[in-house]
Amino acid sequence: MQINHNGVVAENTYDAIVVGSGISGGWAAKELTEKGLKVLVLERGRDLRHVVDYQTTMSMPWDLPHQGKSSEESLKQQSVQARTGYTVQNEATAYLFVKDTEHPYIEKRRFDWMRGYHKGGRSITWGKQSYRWSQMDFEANAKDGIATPWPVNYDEIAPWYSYVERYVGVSGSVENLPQLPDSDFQPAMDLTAAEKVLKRAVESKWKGRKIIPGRAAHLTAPTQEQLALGRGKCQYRNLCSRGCPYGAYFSSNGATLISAERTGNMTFRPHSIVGSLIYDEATGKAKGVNVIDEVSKQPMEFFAKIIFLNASCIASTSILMNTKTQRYGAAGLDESGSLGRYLMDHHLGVGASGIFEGELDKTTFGRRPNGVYVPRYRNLHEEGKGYIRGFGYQGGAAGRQGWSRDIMGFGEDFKKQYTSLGPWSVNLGGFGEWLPYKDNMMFLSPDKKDQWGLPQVVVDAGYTSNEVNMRKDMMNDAAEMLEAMGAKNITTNTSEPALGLGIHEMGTARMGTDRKNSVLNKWNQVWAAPNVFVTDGAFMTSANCVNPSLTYMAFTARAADYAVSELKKGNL
Amino acid sequence: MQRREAVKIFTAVFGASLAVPETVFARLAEPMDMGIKPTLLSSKQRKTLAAVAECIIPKTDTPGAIEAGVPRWFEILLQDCYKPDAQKVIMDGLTNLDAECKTKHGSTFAKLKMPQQIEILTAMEKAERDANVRGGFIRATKDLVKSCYANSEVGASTAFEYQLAPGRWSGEELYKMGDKIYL
Repeated sequence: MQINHNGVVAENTYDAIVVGSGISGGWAAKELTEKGLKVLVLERGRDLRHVVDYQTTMSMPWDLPHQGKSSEESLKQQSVQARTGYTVQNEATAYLFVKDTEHPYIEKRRFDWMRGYHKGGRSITWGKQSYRWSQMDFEANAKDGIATPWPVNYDEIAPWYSYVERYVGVSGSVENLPQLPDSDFQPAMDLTAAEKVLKRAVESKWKGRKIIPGRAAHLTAPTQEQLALGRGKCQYRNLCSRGCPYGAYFSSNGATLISAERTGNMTFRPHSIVGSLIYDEATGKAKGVNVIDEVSKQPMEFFAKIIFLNASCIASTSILMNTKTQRYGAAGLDESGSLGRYLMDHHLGVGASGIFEGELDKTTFGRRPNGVYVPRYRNLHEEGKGYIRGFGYQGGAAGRQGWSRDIMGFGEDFKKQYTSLGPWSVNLGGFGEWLPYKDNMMFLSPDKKDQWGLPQVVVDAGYTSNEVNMRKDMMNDAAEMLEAMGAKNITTNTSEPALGLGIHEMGTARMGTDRKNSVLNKWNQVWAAPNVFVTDGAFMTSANCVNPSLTYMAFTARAADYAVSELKKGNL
Repeated sequence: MQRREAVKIFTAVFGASLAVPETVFARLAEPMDMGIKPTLLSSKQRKTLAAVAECIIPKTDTPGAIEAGVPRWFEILLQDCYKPDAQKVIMDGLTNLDAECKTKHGSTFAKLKMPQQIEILTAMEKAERDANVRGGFIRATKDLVKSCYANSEVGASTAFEYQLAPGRWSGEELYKMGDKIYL
């Protein structure tokens, strides 16, 4: 048995360590293993084997103990996440979210933190909406003079978007919109009859507004490469977040981790909670990670030449913060003062809904796991009053009202109504850009620890007039567009924006142009430890208004390529 | 479409490209542990509930609420998924309905003929709406009966049709009143 100079068994040494197996960790694992590196993937939660462990994926509604509604008993264990009204409320998917009772954190102000601690992380339950950023989004911070400029531009990222899209499979339509570049698409999912009415009405009334099919990471025309992974075409069940038995939507479990596994270069270790990096003061690099076994609670060490942090925004930042060094001190691996700050999400829970009583000779067949998308138009084609940046909408008229609508009466007459269709339901819900604010932050509690002895995370973040003013347009524009199509009973909704609700937490270890203004350089490389890369949501310098996962994937593939080439050059 | 057929479709559609063997799908398709015993309602409340449920969804050319097992589902959901104050609205409602029927009609609700039962419930629903009661007994009971029936095996394969894997998507399927609807 070989012993290295630290007296540690060589079997704990790899070429690379990837911390986390969610949407970005899966990509890091795939890219690094395919480039020939021996990679250890550390997942803090349990194993979740593709298909085999998707325990509810084939359940009929009556196979579930409560026909799909979470019991009060189960909600008690997930009471923090239950506040949101989704995710854990569904009996069939609650098992893919953590028990809040086991994973506490501290909210100075409300922060909804939805977590899935298992192989694949939230790539199992994500919304699959996939949109590219445009050059104007990468330029926005510099132009507005806020936060810090992005150190990359669209042209640098575009080839990596294409690279991941061809592997992932993104369905959508070519629109040639400057603010929302097209992806390398598989065929789009059709709009419904009512959505076509909405599209005509909106696009004829407003020049800059478009209604397009949602762009979603579902296979509609799988490639040979995707079929070879055991992935198939979408079957329109819309039971996605139970785990897809066809691998039809993209997840780590159904795609990247299978590719990584097939190289023979991946070691996957579940129940491995990374507390901090092992920092080498002499070289100024990290030589490994400190791990606590989730079950036995025993500490362990693993070593590698390069380390990818993909533990999710808040968790990766916690690891950097919890790495105490002589060189950088107690604040963690950062000298810019930005670590833990500029926490962002998208603000949502605002829009309008109604009914549409046209096209009543038509309905839908199948359950489309997708909707329509309204690309950003405010502060582009139309001015937004009292705010910078903009928002997009998701929603549409996915189907007609069915049995659950309110119907008066009893007996046969009632039953006739109850078993037939009502009008179309139509809604538009906004996804707004949340600006990066220095004071929106997370830090580690100085005294409260979790059951593994790691410091609990404290989150203290809020909103300003930019979000509030934007939400007025988000609500009113939605109602206006529904009105334009002739919808009735239109009601608007809004709420106090709370970070976390979008499940797009990002920032806290942002990229920048200089080690004085950021935690990471343009290659997702930690300024203070160049063999460490952070490619989950933590790296984001601004939030834009589109769903971020596609961007995390593109940046991860790019960073892995860079890391391996630097390693080969002997620079890491 | 029944479960077994759904499993067959998986293999037909995917053939050799399936990531896992058919036996795994068969196992995943087994019902989950259904060892839950409804213990919330008294036998009197159960009788009243069954009669109310059948008035909401009677047997026609398709099965009614009782045949679909709605009363049992209703009690399981009420017991496990409702907060105590919401449970109380329904449980008190059932008890009061019986008491009122005894006073006014000399019989428990369950023993009245259906037309009379429907007349009583219709009047109660109207009164509840007129008074703008939120989460009242009739509304809450109807909502849960509707959901229990649509999600029951009998309801979802007779009065409705539930397909585990529709296999295709159309946003413009033709429809006329009376066509069976897909859940």
